[in-house]
Amino acid sequence: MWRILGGLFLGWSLGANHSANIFGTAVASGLVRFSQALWLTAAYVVLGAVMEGAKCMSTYGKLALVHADTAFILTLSTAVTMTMLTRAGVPASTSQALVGAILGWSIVEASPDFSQLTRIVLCWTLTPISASLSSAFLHRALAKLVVDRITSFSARNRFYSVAVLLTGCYAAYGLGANSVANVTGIYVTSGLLNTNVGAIIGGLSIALGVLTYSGRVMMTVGKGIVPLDPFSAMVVVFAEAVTLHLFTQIGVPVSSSQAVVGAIVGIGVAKGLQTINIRVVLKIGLGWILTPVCAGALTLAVHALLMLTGVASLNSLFAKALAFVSQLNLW
Amino acid sequence: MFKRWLRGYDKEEAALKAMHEHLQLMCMANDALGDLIRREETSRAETIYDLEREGDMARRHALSIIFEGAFLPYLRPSLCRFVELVDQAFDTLEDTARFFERISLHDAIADECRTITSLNKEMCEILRLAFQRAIHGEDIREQVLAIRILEKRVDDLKAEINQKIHDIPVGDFWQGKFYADFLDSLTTFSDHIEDASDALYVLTVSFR
Repeated sequence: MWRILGGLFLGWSLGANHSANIFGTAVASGLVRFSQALWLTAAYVVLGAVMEGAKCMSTYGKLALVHADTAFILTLSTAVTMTMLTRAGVPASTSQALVGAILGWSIVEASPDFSQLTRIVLCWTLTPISASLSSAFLHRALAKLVVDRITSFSARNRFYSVAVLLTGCYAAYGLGANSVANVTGIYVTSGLLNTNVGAIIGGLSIALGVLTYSGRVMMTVGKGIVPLDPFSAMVVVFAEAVTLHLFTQIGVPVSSSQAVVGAIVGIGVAKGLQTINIRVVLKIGLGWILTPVCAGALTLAVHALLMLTGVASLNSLFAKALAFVSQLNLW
Repeated sequence: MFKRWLRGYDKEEAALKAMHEHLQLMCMANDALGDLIRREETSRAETIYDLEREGDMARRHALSIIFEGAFLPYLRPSLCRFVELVDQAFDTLEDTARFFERISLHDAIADECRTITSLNKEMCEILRLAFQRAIHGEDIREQVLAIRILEKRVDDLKAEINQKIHDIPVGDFWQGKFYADFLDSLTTFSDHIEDASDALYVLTVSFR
């Protein structure tokens, strides 16, 4: 069971990082209290994971055959890659990192199923595109159907404060439903956990990341991104939630960061193309290519290290380590 | 949570009511200033001071409700700026009345001063109308434009007064100072009203 520690670490880092995509702008601008955002995100992430998390879990298993030991190495490599890229300021995607790690490992250990990879890569490409289309459409439709009809100043103000909370909860639900597969999906396909337990453990680890370490990231994202007006901020979160929910229904884990970036670009398109900073968009796009490559390279390095040291399995590695520690007579 | 939302709704309504009251008091004080300058009804000065004190209370009430959490934090700075600009105009109005009590209006510039008083009154009413339209989500472009045009007319009258003012005899330094201060505050009022209308326009555009 200790092997799921890799997944828990990955879930924790995912929760700490990706919760910023949900209430980041709302918290930074004071629309929602920080504690309120934390508890709502944590609760709805767990709810999403438990209710719909199973839908995406089998996808990683179809890429390549994964054993329990391998699952630990893959999740650990993914978590390390994510931490490195986050520290380097590159907006990274957990699902891309995990797929990169699985492919890196399976290239030397097993034959990967590239037909599944094509489907996944297609969904990665479609995530920002569909998020930007959704946000552009929602921006126009909601403006026409709802906001323009609420003329009173105070009623419109009330609408925004309630809508930001509701869309945030929906986005947290979508994050839990879609991303829990990144955390415990390969443990489920390797047979270490059953689907329900995987969904609960994965959801709770993401929620733990939200509750313990999301503050700084949330404020960085909230203040770092160009301040959006309340309506645009609401539309961005709504479009992100719709995109995540859509991809959950077809069983493909996608990136909430990609969805958010896509949604913001969509707002830019709706407001006028000149508002989009192409340089920033290209930098983010480069990060999306780097993420699976880095994770794959790291997994290959771990594999090479295990081969060099002649370790057959992680259990034998731990047995060797324990024997070494007992020889030191520390107690 | 639903109860809190409803309470929040009341909070916003209360803030808007206090802001409207503040504006209304300023318009009343402006009417009183018109009577003071046009008809030289000195008793109206006291009315202006009383209205200014009431206005201060309305301003504090509006700001305290906003700071307690009325409206989205995104809007609060713009709302507070609007309230502060209206208050600056109100203070200028009170100053005008105080300085007027210490001088006697010279015939050479009396007409211009009276016309400025009428224009100020008009601007005040337009600002009040713009505020009412803005909080109901209506377009206030016309009102903002009208205030700008009136402000330009006040500026032109100020230039005319500055040309004539050299011929007005002044008894001593203090009399001259009060005269200058009176003319300054009388003509500055329109600038504050223009700033307030611009702030209100920015507020409505950003909240669309």
